[in-house]
Amino acid sequence: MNTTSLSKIAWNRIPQARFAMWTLIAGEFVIFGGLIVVYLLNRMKYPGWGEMAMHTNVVAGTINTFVLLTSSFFVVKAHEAAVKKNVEKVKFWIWLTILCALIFLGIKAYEYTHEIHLGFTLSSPALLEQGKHVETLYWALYYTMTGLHGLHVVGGALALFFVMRNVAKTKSYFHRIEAAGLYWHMVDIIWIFLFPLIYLIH
Amino acid sequence: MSTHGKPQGLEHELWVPAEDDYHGHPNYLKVYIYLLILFAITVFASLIPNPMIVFIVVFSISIIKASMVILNFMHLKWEPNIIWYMLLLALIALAFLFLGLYPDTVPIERFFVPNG
Repeated sequence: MNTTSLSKIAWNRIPQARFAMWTLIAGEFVIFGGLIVVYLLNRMKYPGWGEMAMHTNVVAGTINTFVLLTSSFFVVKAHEAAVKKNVEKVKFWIWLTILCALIFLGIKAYEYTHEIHLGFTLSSPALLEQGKHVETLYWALYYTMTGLHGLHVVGGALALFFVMRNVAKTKSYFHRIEAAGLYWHMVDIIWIFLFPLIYLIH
Repeated sequence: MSTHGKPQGLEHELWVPAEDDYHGHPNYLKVYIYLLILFAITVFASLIPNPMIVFIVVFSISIIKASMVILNFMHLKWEPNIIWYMLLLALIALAFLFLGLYPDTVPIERFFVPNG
């Protein structure tokens, strides 16, 4: 393990791609963190939200959490292979990560289908008819948070695919695997917080 | 400055010499297994009947899991202070958001002591 002390590393030694990605990640944390703060405050204010949370599919959420954690491991293995400039291993680990992304999106699509079938949508007209205005807000925020996260999963998987294709074609630009990987880990970290909030706390 | 051995073109500008790859590479499998163990604890903790205890336990574990990913998989452990400050700034912004919105979530009476 490299034991270089932090104090010895100058800020201008950070590779450009890595620095740019960390800047983006800090911004993303504020966006998703803001949504999580809004969710937490409303959850404290409205006990009816706990009842709504019971309609989410815990099994699907649990499987998806396992899938994303595993994909984070795969992508860091791809980064390790990129450091060694091993194109075949980079391709292998990135394809596994993309497979995880597809499984995640498939399960999320199944969940959405079930929830929409029950009448829980962005505006939930069925709940409004019953006078449950506050409960309607729960589903609006649920779809905003998970939908935005889902879009990031799609974006991350596409970025990984194009970076991998480029690396395989040119046998260079290996540092881009790390940059795309950082983005992917961010997607995983956001889900680490969304999962218990949405699925486990009733 | 010698450019011997460096790739040409765009990559020349972005190329990182091996000695500048200051990251360490921890045992990723070990970190992954720890993450799975914490994940299992999270799921079982949700079976506790008291929602407040569930919230405290699962949210604390989430913070530990996120820290493990960010420190080991994203190699924050090895990054210079400027990256840490950037992330700290994001957390401070979130703390301000929380504190700014908090008064909206509690009944207004709690903020005023009746004059009697």
